[in-house]
Parts: sequence; structure tokens; C-alpha cells
Amino acid sequence: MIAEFVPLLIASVFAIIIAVFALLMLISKKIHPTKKDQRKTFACGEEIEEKNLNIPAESLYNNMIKTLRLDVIRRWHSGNLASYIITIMLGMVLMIIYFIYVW
Amino acid sequence: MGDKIEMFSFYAILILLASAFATAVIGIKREGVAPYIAIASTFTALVLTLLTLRDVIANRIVTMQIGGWLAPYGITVVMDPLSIVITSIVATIGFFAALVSFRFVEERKVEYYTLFSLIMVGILGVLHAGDMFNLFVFIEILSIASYSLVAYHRDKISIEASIKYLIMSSFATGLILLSIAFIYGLTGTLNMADIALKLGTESGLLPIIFGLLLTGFGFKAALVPFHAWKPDAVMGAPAPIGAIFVLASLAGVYAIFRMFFTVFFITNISVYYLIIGLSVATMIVGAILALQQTDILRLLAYASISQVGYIFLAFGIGALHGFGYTAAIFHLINVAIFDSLLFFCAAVLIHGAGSSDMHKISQSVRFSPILGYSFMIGMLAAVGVPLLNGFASKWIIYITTLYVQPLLTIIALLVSVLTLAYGVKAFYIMFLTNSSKKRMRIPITMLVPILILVAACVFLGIYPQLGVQISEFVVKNLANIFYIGKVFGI
Repeated sequence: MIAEFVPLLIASVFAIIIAVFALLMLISKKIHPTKKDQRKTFACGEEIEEKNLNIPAESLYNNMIKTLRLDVIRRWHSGNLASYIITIMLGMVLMIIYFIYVW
Repeated sequence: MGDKIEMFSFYAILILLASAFATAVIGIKREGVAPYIAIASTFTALVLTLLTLRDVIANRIVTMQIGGWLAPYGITVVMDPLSIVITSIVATIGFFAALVSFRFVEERKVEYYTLFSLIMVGILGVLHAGDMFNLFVFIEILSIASYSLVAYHRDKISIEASIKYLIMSSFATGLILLSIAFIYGLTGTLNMADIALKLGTESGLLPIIFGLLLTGFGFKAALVPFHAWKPDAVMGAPAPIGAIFVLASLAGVYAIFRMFFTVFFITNISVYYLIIGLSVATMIVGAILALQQTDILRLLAYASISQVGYIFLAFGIGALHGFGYTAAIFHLINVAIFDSLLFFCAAVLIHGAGSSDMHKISQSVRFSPILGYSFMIGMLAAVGVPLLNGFASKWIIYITTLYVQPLLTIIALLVSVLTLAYGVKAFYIMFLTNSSKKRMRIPITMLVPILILVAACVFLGIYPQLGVQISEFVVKNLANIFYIGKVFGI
């Protein structure tokens, strides 16, 4: 009985997540609006049109990322080798402790 | 009976090894020959692998004792359904990568194709190894060739990426070596089948050994938190090597599967809970970081990390719902197909634009619509859109997680939406805002592999039964009792 509704359920959840995603994008544009002066670009005294810069496309999700503080994960990926090695070691130690506990 | 069957796929390793040396020697005088040697050797490797695939379908497991020494002495080479399925994928994608590289690589061909052949030797060797020592040796061959290829461009980004990758990877392979030493100390053997018989469950060292192995192989598979090497390495290396890095990650996934099913035969559910936790982190972190990228290679690297998360989610669920293992194998096949397709499309884009920055790509040349559609199909397959291969395996993942823990289904769906979001972004920037009037024709050696992979995405999408049958054949033969029996000729 339940199995018959599983495809509908999954499709509905998928649609809801997309709707929430779109809603978040709209809300975050209100919270972190792109300032007008950020859209103007001058190169050698010439004003370049926004559409030729593709800035909106590249920063398509920037407002949402700022609002949800997702850029924290990016900051964690600083490119610093020492922090990467520490992350690997920390992951290894935690995993071993967990295995000792559950083995 | 089994030992009379010739293992042709093992000769593929020897041919690729010979081709690496031949490229280096012949290439000194005639550099132009290098790509032809690579194409011929990878094609031969593919044919030999398919011959072994036929034998494995008929006999389930094919083994070979090098030098005639009986197991556990000497070197054991094993091909079971799990390894032959991945070997076939590796051989096919490797051949395609050699074709795509033909026009992509225009300078220092000898260096490139020698290292390319050695990476293939490393990956295929890992898949063939029946003992821990050779597994380690082939991982080292794969790693050393990778470090050099990442530094291929010899610019600041490549060299920095290569050094970082070298240091991190040396640390990870060191952990694998340490765990192998522990295993040898406990059992007095390195043969995987023999270790499985002698290891037992009592030693207090086992959780430490398993933790070290999971860290080392998790690094190769780019599992969070051991994934940081991948975006830098993929960005530093020539674009077709991105597809080879996908295969290298799958070799890491294979090694973890092998440890779980053959060497340790893990039945403890709590261990699988950890895998589920790591997989969720891998899926989410990969997708969120892909969302923030402006470089196509970095975006695809994070996307492939996210997809590896799906494989491990299905694998972790497999302990609780038998169909999870089938989903894991099926998704592994699909990831290899659509991720390679995306990397090959990226190779064409970078070849035309001279940059991997998506904004620069959109400004440089106008690409053929065929490339745009191919990229779109690859991305939609990664999202899991119906009628494409990614949908079939993701659907099984959704269903199995729904029965075990619905929250995991919601997370899997959420990550699919994030995949759609960064896919839309990449497609929009590179193909829909393209302002260039200069047109570019796709070289035939690049177009053919792309079209074949597109066809594979569509075929496995409309006929998923084939993928499910292959995956079920693998899962039915995962129990280590078959493996051990065949190695010892019982």
C-alpha cells in the first residue's frame, strides 16, 4: 500500500526542496542585496555593461550562501597545507576512537 | 579448473607498463609517436579486459599465481565480479582519455603519455592485487605518476597543487603501509584471502588497523574529511586527467569495499553507521563547495566528491537494506560514466578557451551545440533526472534510504537539488552567456568519446535493468568465502 505512494512521495519532496531553494534565493536577495555601485565596472575610462561581465551569473547564489553562512565551509578550505594535514589527522584519530568504542 | 583460465586483463597491466617505457624511449627521437602508443596500448588493455570479463561472467572468480607459487606464497592476482566491473570501466574510460588527450596535449607529449600509462598501470594494478603488498605498490605507482602529472603545466598553480598533493598523499599512503605492517605482525601473511582466514576478531589492534586503512583509502576515494587534495590536483593537471582522477577515486572506493567484504568481513552495524555519517558529510560538503566555484575543473572536482558520497551512502545503507549494495555498485558505474563525460566536455572547453575559468570560457569561443547538449546530459545525469543513468541508481538509493531512515532520503534529495543548482550555473555561464563570435569545431577524437558516453548515459537511463543485473551479479559474489575458496583452489 505504502509502496505505491513512494514515487509520488519522493517526487513531492524533490519539488518541495526546489521550491524552498528558490524561496531562499529570493529571501537572501532581500537580506543581502547587491549594491548598485557594485554593478558598475570601469576599465580604462570605459564603462562596461553588466551583461557583458556575467557578474550576476558567477555570483548567482552568493546572496544565499552569505545568508545561510555556507561560506564557512569554503573558509575551512583555505589552501593551507598544515590545516589540511591536521584535518586528516583529526579525522583519523576520531575514526579510530570510534572504532575502538564500537568494535 | 580455475587456474587453467588465462587472466588476460593482467597482461593489460604489462602492456601499459611496456608502453610507458616505450613512450619514454622512442619519444626521445620521435615525440609524435607517443599518443599513438598510448591509444594502441589502452585499446589493447580494453580488449584484454573484456576477454577476462567474459571469463568472470562464466566462472565468477578468476585467479592467477605468478611464478607458479601456490597461495599464500608468491603473488596472487584475482579478478572477481567487483574488480572486473571496475576494471572494465577503468579500461574503457582510460582508452577514451587517451583519445581526448590526442588533440588536447600539444607539448611535452612524451612526459604526458608516459605518466598517463603509469597512472593506468597503478589503477589496474590496485584492482588486480590479491595481496596487501602489491596493493600498496600499485597505489604508490598511481600516486607518483599523479604528482608529476599535476605539475605538468609547470606554472605556480600546478606546482603548488602537486607539492600539496604529494605531502598529503604521502601521509595517507604512509598510514596504509603502517596498517599493512600491523596486519603482517598479527597474521604473518600479506595475502588477502589468507589474512581473512587468520585475522580473527579478538585483537585489540583491529580497530586501529581498520581506522588507518579507512583513512588511507578514504583519502584516495576523496571522502570528507580527507578530500582537500582533489580540487587542487584536478585544477593543476591537464583536463583529461580529471577523468583519470575520477577512476583513481573509484580505485580507492574499490579498496575500501575489498577491506570490508574480503579482508575484514565487517558485520558490525556501528561501522556502517560511521560510513553513512562520512557519506552525508561528503555529499553535502562537495555540493556546497561546487556551488561556490567559478573554475569548471574545481566545480567538477567537488561534484565528483559529492557523487562519491552517494556511493558510500548506498554502501552504508547496504548493511541495513540488502539492495543498498546494488545501488552502490550501480551508482559507481554511473558516476564513472557521467563524471568522465563532464571532464571530457571540460577538456574541449579548456582546449578552445585556453582557460578553465568559466567566465573566460564564455568570452573566448562559441562552441558547437553538440557540446552544450552533451554537457547538459552529463549534468542532468548527475542530478538524477529521469531517463538518464544517474536517475536509475539514485532512485534505488532514495527508496532504500526511505525504508531505513527517511531523513537520509531528504538529504540525498537536497544534495540533488544542489547538484542541479551548480549544474545550471555552469551551463548558464559557459553556454548561455557566450558572447564570442569566433566558432570552434570539436576534434573528432574528442567528440567520439563524448558521444559514446552520452549514449551510455541515455541507454542505462532507459534500460536500467542492465545496470541492476550487473550490480546484483557483483553483490551476489561479494562474500569472502567464494574469494578465499578460489584463491586456495578449494
